[in-house]
Amino acid sequence: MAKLQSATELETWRKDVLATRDPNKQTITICGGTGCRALEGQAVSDAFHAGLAAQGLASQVDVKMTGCHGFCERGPLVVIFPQRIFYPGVTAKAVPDIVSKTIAKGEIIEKLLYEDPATGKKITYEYDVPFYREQRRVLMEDNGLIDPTSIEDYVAVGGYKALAKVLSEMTPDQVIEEVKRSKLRGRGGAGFPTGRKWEDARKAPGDTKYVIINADEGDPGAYQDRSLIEGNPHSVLEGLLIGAYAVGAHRGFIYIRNEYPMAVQYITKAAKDAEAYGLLGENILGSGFSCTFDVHRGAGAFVCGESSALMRSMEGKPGEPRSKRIHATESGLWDKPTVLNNTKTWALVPHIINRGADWFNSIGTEGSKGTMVFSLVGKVNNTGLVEVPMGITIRRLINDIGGGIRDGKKLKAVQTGGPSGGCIPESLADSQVDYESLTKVGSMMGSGAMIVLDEDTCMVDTARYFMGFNSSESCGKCTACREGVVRMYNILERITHGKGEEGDIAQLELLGETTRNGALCALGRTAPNPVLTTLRYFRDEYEAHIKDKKCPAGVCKDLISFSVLADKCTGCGLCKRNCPQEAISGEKKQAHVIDQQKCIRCGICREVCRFDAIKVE
Amino acid sequence: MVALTINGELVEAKEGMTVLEAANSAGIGIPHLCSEPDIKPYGACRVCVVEVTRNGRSSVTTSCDLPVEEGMVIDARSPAALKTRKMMVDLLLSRCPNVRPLKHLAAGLGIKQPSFSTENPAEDCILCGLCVRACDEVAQKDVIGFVDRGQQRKVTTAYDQADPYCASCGKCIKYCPTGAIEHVPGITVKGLGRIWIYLRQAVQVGMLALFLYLIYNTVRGKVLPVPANLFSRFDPLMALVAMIGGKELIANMIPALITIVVTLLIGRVWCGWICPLGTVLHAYGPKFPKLPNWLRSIKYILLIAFVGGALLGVLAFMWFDPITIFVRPLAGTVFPYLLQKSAPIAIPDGLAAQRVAEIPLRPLIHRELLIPLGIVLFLNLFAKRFWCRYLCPLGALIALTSKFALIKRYVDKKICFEWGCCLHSCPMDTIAYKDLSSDPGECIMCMDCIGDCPSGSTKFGRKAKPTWVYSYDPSRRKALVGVAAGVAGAFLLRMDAFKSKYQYLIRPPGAEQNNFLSKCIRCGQCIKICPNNALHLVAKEGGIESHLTPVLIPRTGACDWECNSCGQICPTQAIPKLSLEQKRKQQMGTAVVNTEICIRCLLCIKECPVKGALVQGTIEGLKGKYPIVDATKCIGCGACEFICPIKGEAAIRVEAPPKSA
Ligand SMILES: Cc1cc2nc3c(=O)[nH]c(=O)nc-3n(C[C@H](O)[C@H](O)[C@H](O)COP(=O)(O)O)c2cc1C
Ligand code: SF4
Ligand code: SF4
Ligand code: SF4
Ligand code: FES
Repeated sequence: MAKLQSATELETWRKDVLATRDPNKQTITICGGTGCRALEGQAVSDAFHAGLAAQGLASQVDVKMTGCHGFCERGPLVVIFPQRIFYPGVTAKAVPDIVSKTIAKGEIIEKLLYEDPATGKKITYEYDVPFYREQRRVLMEDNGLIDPTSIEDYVAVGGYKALAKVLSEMTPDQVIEEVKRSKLRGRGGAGFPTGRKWEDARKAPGDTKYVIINADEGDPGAYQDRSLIEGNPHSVLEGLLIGAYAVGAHRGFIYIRNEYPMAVQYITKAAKDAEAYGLLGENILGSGFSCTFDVHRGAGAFVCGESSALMRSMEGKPGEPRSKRIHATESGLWDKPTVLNNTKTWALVPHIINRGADWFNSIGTEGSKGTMVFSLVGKVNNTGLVEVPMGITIRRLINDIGGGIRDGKKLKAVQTGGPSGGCIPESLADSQVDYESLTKVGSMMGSGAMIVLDEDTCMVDTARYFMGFNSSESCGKCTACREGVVRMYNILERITHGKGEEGDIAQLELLGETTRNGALCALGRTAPNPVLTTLRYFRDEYEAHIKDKKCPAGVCKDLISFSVLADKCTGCGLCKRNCPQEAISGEKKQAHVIDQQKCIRCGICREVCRFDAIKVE
Repeated sequence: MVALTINGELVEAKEGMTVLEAANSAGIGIPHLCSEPDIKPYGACRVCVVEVTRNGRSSVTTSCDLPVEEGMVIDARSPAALKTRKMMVDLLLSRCPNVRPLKHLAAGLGIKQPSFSTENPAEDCILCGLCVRACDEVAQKDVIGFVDRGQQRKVTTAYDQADPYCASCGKCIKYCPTGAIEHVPGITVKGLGRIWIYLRQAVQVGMLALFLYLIYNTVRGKVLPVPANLFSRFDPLMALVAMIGGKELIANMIPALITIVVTLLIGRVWCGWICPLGTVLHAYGPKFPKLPNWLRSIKYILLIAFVGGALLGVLAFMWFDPITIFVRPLAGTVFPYLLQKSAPIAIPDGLAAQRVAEIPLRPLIHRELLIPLGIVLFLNLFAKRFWCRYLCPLGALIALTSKFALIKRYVDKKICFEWGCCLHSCPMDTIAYKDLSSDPGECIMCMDCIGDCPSGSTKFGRKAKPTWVYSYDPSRRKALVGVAAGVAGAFLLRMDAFKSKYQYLIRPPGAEQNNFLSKCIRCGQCIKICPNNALHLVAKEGGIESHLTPVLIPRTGACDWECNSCGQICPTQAIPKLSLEQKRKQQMGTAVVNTEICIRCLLCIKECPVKGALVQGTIEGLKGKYPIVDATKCIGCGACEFICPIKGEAAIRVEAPPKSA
């Protein structure tokens, strides 16, 4: 394939690609995202190929394994184009039916359709599913349409148009101006204005500059960056190239965790393809602008996502943050001006260039523009990746998109911002999701993890869990974070084991405040958040643990006991059979009893009891 | 130049300086642990936090890596900065509760106790990274580095092994503020003055060997080229007390003067290098007992009391001198026991043999002499050199002298690392935690501290002035207490109630006439040089004042006509040094015949060495010939009493001359 020499050649190629494609051709897309793959997505795809071949339809129907569609809860997802018929939870066994009925005859298979848990109605088309209906998809828009390993697919949906526009029509300053006008803020957590960062790097002296994609994504529960790279790697690459052009960099990198082999594979392939088409490397699109691209695999320490630690790690040094007095835009990687942005930040850039800063500005709130991808996990009905406009309220996110809380339980709190974010109580669920509002309630945007907690969650235990994570992920360089966080964890550990003491709360607050002030990098500075927010909103739970030695949510094993409610117990003996400790005794059809001495409070009896006869307190 | 405000003062600083540097050059101290002028800022310890106000916004941040800016307002002592700093120090102290610079810092911030517990109180690395950066930036070797994350983070070399690239330049050692570098794998920290310790130990062993050799041979009765009482003669306490007690100069004790002169020059070397008891006590016992420091003043009070007693002529306390404590059991118990095992003491045959076996006199091996030494050794289990620290009156005398010594221990603060290695080495526990200084009175010049000093900053030289600042130093009050105790003690001992009425208290030749009790230092050396086993230590018959003084007991042996050894060995010349001629004229007592039990065998007359002192004669009212004593000629040597065949008490007994009053 000859390299494209100009923007015009790119357009010509695009037309050629589109010409070979019939928009009305039936296409089966199977989600190839991590979640669906784990649920045998690959087997489903194989089954389709086999099924179509058997029916002799192979040439009339395309089968595509795409990136993550987002609705991971119901995977493996199958969408049939052009109608967008939506079949969730497809197994390989169901495939022959789909092929013979839906594909061959256009029949909808009722029992495979998605049923809205709220209304009980069956929904046929993907765009009618509330989970998708309420989203505003920009970054994730193409994930379900394209094959991530195919550059043609990307070009077919308008890929590299923005790069061509920038290289042929805009000066670097104009690009920066456009990004600045869009008010795009970094999606990696801190929300730093991207345009300003680029401008600083552009103005920094020196000819050697670097641009880096941060795809380290170490927060537990977050997989947006991964899904983006696995679903649409070219969009990230295109954004990076536009940025490189704007700041005057000729080398770009992606720092990606080694635990993402598929993402590594796709981004590597994307770069290879792009280079083959003259979209990367020497003299891109004949513009005279050159930029190379390398993949750097990180070993997977959470702290290596922090910008200075990431750069040290790329230099082959220990991944330790250093003081932010010198900005990376002046002296970053190998002491050269460097722009590091989150994967999503980069991927938003082509959209801004294509559709304009004004369009971007029309989405979101005053201070936070555009959309944000969240990973919605926890006790919500529809877990998955959701993209929403900035400023949506937490309640809408949970109820409308997430489908409410599982098992009809009540919402207790939402943890946002990753392990060092905060817990926002139900009472504040009407706050908006944007940089300012989240900070105001003591949490943060982070990289967009959102963990929904229901009434059965112990907030002290939750804080303990996150502090455990933070203390083990601290790089250990500075006193505040290395020592302070672990001391907070120890105190929480004591409290959840019923050994809390008078003065623990005050000590936690003092530690939290001083760790926040004293830590060197944002990890330590934000690490106390889980404790400080739970103390702010759920202080009574702490007090119950410490003073009354009770865990109101019934979670902390040392503070609870299980007993059988005699009036509800039917004497079915299910609990007795399941108890691993043989702690339950009782005759058939008689109320059973739990021997507290033997009980290890595992809670299995409560789970298996069909009559709600096990009480925990 | 940039102008900024630090702690309310307007400070000028050079462009590019950090706030910490600017503060330092303006003489404003901001506490910090991980920053050194010639090493790049790192920001690990977070102790240097300050509150900075710029453009009306203030925040807490570290100062060691904060570049100065025009118009910046810094407050290193604002409540927020202090709160944060205090917590950082508290956290570090909780990690390393025994690290000196941290403890200082903590004390300065009002932290009495670390707030959090630790599982490893020996941890001493504060992870400041100075060693790592020194190796990288100063030595340019990059041999040491950090490994692991979070709590597991530690400093080490590659594969925890000595690295061939390490130039052993010691840069890391110099920069480590806590001494933790000693425990970094692959890094060896050497004490610089080991050689001195070896030297001292050699001297100590030599001295102890010499001491044992002298006593052993004395006990065996072998004559040596060196005076057997060598150690005693160098003992200035014996000299002082005996001369005061005897109110005369004792030529024999001149060597003690040498000890004093040496002490004035180089301090308490007697205790550290020479004293045989000290050597034994140096060998074991905990260095850092939890005992109050005022105990140290006991020895001074004792010293003063002894001198006070001596002024009144009472030397009874001298059984408390370290040399005598050590000599007595060796001479009176240990060596006799060993000798008896190897070659039983020759027991005369015939009648005498029978008598020796039957006479219920004290045993030849004086087991009770072991008690004082035993106590001293036992106390050492509670503190190394317990005796030397708290009790030894000789030590006290030498300590007072060494306060004025020319050469003393001091720490050169300019090069000291402040790790406090010396603290852990001092057997006398006299090095102050605060500033590593020591009391020249307590310092025994053992040099254990230079052996452990990695920086070479512990020195012995003409530096320190006399210090009289320790709570346990003798004060006027303590001196008065001492004198009062001594005088009271002396009077008490002299009271009639404690005086002995024992009429057989026969002193060695020439002693009685020589103000004996005021000079005898109770060392017990005479009893063992006595070839006839005639001299013994009195326990109680002589009264308390006579406790452990020598007495002649003719039933076990008579004073040998041909011998004058006891006068030769007595270090204080309480038993005068006499020629054989002179000695034969000394009257120790007078023999008295008990006619009621005398069987008139007249063996005694044959034995008496003095011509005309014991002759045959008749006694009025009694039949037959009896031995008759000429009191003017009898010298009381006891030859008659020894030979008398009567079982139990002899029929002829030497009685002490009447006390002069
Ligand atoms: C402990 C820690 C972990 C971080 N991890 C990530 C990460 O995984 N991905 C990311 O994009 N940014 C991460 N960041 C934020 C980065 O430091 C940096 O702010 C961001 O990559 C800048 O990009 P942006 O301006 O596009 O947000 C992390 C920050 C901290 C303190
Ligand atoms: S805050 Fe934590 S992660 Fe950041 S430098 Fe300090 S120890 Fe390392
Ligand atoms: S060994 Fe010493 S210098 Fe090195 S990090 Fe530990 S405390 Fe600092
Ligand atoms: S203090 Fe006394 S026993 Fe100790 S070494 Fe000195 S003289 Fe000897
Ligand atoms: S001296 Fe500034 S952080 Fe240690």
